[in-house]
Amino acid sequence: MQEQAPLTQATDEAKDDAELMSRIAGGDQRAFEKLMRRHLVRTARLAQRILGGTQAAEDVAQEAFIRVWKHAGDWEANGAKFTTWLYRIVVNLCIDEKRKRSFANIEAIAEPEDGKDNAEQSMQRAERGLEVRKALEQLPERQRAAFVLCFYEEHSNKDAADILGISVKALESLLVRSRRTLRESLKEEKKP
Amino acid sequence: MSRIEEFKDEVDLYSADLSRWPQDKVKPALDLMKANPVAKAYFDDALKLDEKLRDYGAKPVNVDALATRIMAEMQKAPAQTAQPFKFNPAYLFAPGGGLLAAALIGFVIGFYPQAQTDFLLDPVYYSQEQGTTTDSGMDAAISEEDIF
Repeated sequence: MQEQAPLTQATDEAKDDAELMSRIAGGDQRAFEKLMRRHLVRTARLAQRILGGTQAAEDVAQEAFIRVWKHAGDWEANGAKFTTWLYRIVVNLCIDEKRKRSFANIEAIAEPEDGKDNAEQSMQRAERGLEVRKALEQLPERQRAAFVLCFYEEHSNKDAADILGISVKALESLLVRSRRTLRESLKEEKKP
Repeated sequence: MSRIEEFKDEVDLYSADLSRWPQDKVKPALDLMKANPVAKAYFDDALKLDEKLRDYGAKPVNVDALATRIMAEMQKAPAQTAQPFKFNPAYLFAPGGGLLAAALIGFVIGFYPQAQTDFLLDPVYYSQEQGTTTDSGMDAAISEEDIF
């Protein structure tokens, strides 16, 4: 029974999202704000991990929600989750953005989670974060998006495949290849 | 594919976090790691890789500032709201309307067949039906013997 709770919560949230979307389709700004605030952190974080920069990620998150507002009238649930639609918009915007610009800044490095790290530990952590970000940067766009969705955002393979608009088999192939490339890249980083 | 290769694929697919693995694959994987040092070493490497990958975290988002920005931008953007259906005579000219109009016209024509066929009948054929023409054509050359 314990495993049922998160599933039920997710289902309730999906239903509530659909209800909010129908209100947004009628021009309800409060419903839009509620929906946007509910998904804003995950949306911005997903964009940040794919793009590698906070400012660009916030721009993508903003554009994604404006598209939600503008096209709410077109959205029909038909059994699909709102988040699948939203994250698909985000991934596509990130891919467009990546084509326009390169990984330029180094701002997206892990923050110490508990505040207990001393300066040296923080530096080491930041260096490792930078190595990982460079390795992610080398992945092809679809592999990077698949990896971020499954590893960092912890989507199921089925959900990630739906977001990317590909089969589960194709997603699994992307995941295996991305992880093997990352392993090789990060091994090379250790060499002097 | 050997069992060890299959295991490596599973590690690369699901990561070293066994909670992400399908339940039916966890015990066989643990058994293989106990029995096979190559499998155990591959999994240990995957654990280190996971740990390293988690060092790349996302910076916290200033939710309020970003939400305010989005709401301000939203005010400028007109929503494409769903409109209730209203009949417009122009719809008749749309392909569907055109088909409907054609069907209606066909129905009306079919309802008054005599009025339409009177002047459409071929006069020669019509006169043959009435027996007013001579049998000088092909019909006259074919006797009943030819038929049976």
